[in-house]
Amino acid sequence: MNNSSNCFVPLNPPKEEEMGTLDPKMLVSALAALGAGLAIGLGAIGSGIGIGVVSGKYLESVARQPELQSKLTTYLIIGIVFCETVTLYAFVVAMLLYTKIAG
Amino acid sequence: MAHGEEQAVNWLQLAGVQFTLPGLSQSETYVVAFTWVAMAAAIAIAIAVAVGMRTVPRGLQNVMEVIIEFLEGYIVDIIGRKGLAYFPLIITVFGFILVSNYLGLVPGCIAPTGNINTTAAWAILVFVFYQYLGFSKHGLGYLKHFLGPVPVLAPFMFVVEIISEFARPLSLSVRLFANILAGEIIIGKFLMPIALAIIPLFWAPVFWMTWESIITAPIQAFIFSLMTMIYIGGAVAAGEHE
Repeated sequence: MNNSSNCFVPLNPPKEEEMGTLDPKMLVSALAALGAGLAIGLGAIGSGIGIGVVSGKYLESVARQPELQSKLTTYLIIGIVFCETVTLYAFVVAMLLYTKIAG
Repeated sequence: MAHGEEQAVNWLQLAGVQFTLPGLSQSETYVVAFTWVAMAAAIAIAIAVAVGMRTVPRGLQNVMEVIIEFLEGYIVDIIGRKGLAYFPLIITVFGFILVSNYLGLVPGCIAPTGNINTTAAWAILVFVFYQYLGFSKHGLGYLKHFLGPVPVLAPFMFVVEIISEFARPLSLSVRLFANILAGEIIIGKFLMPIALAIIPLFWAPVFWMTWESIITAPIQAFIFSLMTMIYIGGAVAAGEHE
């Protein structure tokens, strides 16, 4: 099999003795960076859906009863704020992990 | 922020100010300096409006009256008429946060609210204030509203309610700081370098994000004061519905 035609095989593969020398600090850093990204990314999904549902329902009810708009806007903002809170906790976790990244 | 050196360039830095307050790093000192700028600006605007006050409002006085009536309406809605006693706190929170959010959009200035320390100070102030209100209005009976409606579940509910109570200042401070900081990072670190380095076509996202920040500033200030009202209202009215 011709290695040079296969782009998934690195041109200079690490030698057998180099493979075992992974710095544990770098591993922690790498995992912390991965975890921080995943935390905020996955956390944002929930509140994105939540804010979508809240504002969609708000538009529906204002279209039905426009005279209630000023009252509903307060509840809309409160609802969005509580949806956002979920992501904020994810953000806090992401920041805690971010400080674990060395260098 | 933990990594304070990621802050954008500001005028004090360009002027070569090396002074640091005792116990603070260089970037934190800049934040304190710009906090004073924001406070001075807020007070100056308030005095300027109060001195030239007239029966038929014009200019800035119109804006201030709209803001004050808007907030008063919300206080009456959420806390009730007796809630107007807390209006000075809420307008102070709103005014300072609004001015400092907009200060971040002035080129070469830092938004003091883009730093977790500023917003945490406000959130802790609000937290202590409404807990004090709750205890002074209801005495130890205030603790009853942490127990929930079902007696059997009371010990469990107490733990949950205490945790959610302490999560309030956390979410209050992080919400404001994260929104402002995100705007600053996206404009200053992400879009501006691309726009400056490559082609004028990339100015469009810069203008769009700046516009987003201009809208976000009053909304975040309003949300902070709205949550303050809700917490105060909850503490003042604790147990009245049962």
